Amino acid sequence: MKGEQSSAVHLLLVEDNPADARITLEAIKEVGMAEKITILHSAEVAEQFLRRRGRYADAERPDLVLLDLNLPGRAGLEILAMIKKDPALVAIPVIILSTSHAEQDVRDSYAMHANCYIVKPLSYERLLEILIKINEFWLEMVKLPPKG
Amino acid sequence: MAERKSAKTANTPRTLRQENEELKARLAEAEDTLRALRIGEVDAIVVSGPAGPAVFTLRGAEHAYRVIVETMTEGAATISLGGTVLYGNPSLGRILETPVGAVMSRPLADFVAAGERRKFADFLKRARSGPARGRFLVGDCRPAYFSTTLLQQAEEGTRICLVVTDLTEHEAALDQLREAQAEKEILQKSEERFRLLAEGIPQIVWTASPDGTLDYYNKRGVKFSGIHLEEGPDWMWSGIVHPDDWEKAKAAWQRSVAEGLPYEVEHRLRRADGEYRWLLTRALPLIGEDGRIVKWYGTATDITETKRKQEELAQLAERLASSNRELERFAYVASHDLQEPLRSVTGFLGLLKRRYQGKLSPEADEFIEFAVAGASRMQELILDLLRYSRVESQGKPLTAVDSGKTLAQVVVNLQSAIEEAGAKVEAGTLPVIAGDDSQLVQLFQNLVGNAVKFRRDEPPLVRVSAERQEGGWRFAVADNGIGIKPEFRERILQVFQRLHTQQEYPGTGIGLAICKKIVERHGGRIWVESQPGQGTTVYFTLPDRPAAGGGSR
Repeated sequence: MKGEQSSAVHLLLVEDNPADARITLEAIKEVGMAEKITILHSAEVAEQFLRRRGRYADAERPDLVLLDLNLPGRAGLEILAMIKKDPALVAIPVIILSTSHAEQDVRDSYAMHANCYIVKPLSYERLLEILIKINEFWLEMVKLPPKG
Repeated sequence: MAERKSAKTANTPRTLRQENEELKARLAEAEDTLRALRIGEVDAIVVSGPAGPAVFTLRGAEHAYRVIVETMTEGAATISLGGTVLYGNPSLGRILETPVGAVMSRPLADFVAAGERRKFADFLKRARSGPARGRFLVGDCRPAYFSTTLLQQAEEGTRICLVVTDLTEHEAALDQLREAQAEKEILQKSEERFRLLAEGIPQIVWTASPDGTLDYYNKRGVKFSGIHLEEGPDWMWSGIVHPDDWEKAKAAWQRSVAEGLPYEVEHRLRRADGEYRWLLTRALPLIGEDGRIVKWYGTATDITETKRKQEELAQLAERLASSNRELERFAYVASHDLQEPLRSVTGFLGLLKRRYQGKLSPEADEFIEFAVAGASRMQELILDLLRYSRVESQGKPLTAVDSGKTLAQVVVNLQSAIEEAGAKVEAGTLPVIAGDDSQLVQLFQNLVGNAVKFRRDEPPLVRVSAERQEGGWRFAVADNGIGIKPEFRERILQVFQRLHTQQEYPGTGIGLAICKKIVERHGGRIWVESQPGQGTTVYFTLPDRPAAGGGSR
C-alpha cells in the first residue's frame, strides 16, 4: 500500500479530542496508510514539533498532516497559516478535518491554502472510507514533494 | 252772510223786548254759524271788527290738513257705505297699484285680491257700523292694512273714512325677524345638543376661537386640570403642559391655527392631582360659508393607560421574540454540542462491532447491535432537531423557485428509497413560487419520503399537484399508503409525534414538524386529509412568485 515512496510515510495527526484521536488512529492503522504516525494534541506542541524546537529538535518532517480545525482557541487555522507561510513547511499537504459544515470555516481554510477540507464523519465505516480515499489519492496516486 | 245792525233806541220795555229778540236772533245765527263751521258747510266768515269787516276762510286752516293727507305715505280714502271710492289720496293709488284717478268712483273691492273679496265684504259690513280693521291683499298681492272710521256729513250722509297702510316692508321685516328667530332657535338647539354631547362623552372637549384662544372646555376638562376657564389663562398654555412636550404641542397648534389643518398631538399634561398624564389632543376646524374658520372643536383623551399597555405589549413581543431566538439557539447548540460525544459513541461502537463481531459471545454481539442502533437513531434525532432549529435562523429570503425543479431534485435525492419500494412519483404542472429553495427541497423530500415509506402492500403511487388560489398555490402530495386515523391528523404535525414503532416504520417524528415550520415560514398553512387504509394527502399552501425585484421577509 505504500506505492512509489522510497522512504516510510510519516503522517502527523493534530487532534485534541482523545476519543477522536484514538478512533482516527485505529482507522489509519487499519488502512495501513503510514509507517510512522505522530499524534499531537495542541497547536503549541504542533508548532514546536514542526519547527523542530526544544525536545522536538530531531523531529522528522511529516509527509502529510491531518489537522483538526477545532483546536482550542481556533488555533487550527493558525497552525495552518504557520505551515503555509513557512518555506520549509509550505509544501506539506495539509488535510483539514473538521466537525464544522460552516461555509465560513471552509472558506477560511482554503483561503489559508489548506489542501482540502473534510468533514469528520459520524461512523467508523465512513471514516475508513475517507482514509482509504486519502491514502489512494495523496499517498499512492499523487507525487509528494521530495523530502528535504 | 249776515250783517250786523247796531241798536239805537233807549231802554223802554218795548225796546228791551226788541233788543231781546235781536239778541236771540243773533245767538241763533251765531249757533248756526258755529254749526256750519263745524260740519264744513261754511268756507268763510265776514266779521266786522274795529278795523272794519274781515273775511276768515276755513280753507286756510284746512290747507295744512289737505297737505298732510295728500302727501302722506299711507293711503287715505273716503268711501260710500256701499264701498265705492269717493275720494282717495295719491298713496292710495300707489298701494292699489292703480292711478288714483282710476280708483275714484270704483268699488274698493275691485282692487282687493279675488280670493279675499268675501272677507272684504264682511269687513265693509263691519265698517258700516263702527271702526274696523283688517289685512287684505290688494293690487298685485300687496299686503295692506285697512283701518276705518265712520264719518257723518250733514248733506251727504254717512261716509266711511279709511287709512290704508302698505304692509309690504313691515311684513318683509317680520319675515326676516321670524327667520332670524328660527335660525336662533336652531342654533340654540344645536348648542344644546353640543353641550349634552360634550358633557356626556368620556373625553375632555374644548372649543377655541379662530385665533386659537380657548373659549370652552367641558366639566371633564375642568376636573382634569383643576382650572376654570375664567380663572386662569388658556390652560393649554398655562404651564401644565409637560416641559418636554411644550415646544412640540405649541408649534403644532400654531401651525394648525394658521393654516386650518387638523390638529393631533400626543403630549403630557399635569392633572389636578399633580400626576402627568399622556393626552391625545385632536381638533378640527369648522369652516364657515366664506371659507374662513368659524371655530375649533377639539377633544383630549387620556391615553396614559393605552400607552402603558402598548409599551407592555411591545416589551412582551420583544421578550417573546428574544425567547424564540434563545430557544432556537438552544436547540441548535444542544444538537450541535451533542454531536461530538455522539460521534465518539457511534465511532467506537462501529469499531467494536467491526473488530469483535463473532469473536465475543452472541450476547455481546446483540448488545453491540442494540447500542449501534440506538446511537444511530440518536444521530438522526439530533440531525432532525438541528434542521428544525435552523428553519428560521438559517432561512434565506424568499425568491422565485420553480417547484417542478424542486420535485425533480427530491426524486433524485430519494432515488434509492423509490427504487427499493418500486414507487412511482407523478406530478402535475408545478408553478414558480416564492420560497427558500433548500427549505422547499426539505419540505418536498419529507413529504414524498413519507408517502413512499408509509406504504401498503402495493407499490406506492405518489401524486404531487398544485391548484391556484388567492395569492398563491395549494399543493397536494397524495399517496395510496396506509393512511392516518382522523383523530391523529393534527398531532402528527407536532414535534416527536409518531404513530408507529421504529420496527414498523423508522423515523424521528420530527419530519412533519419541520415541514410545518417551513410552510409557516413561507406564510402558508399545512394540513392532512386521510382515511385509514386508503392513503393520505398532505395539503399545504405557498405564496405566489414574488413581484419583480426578488423576495421579502
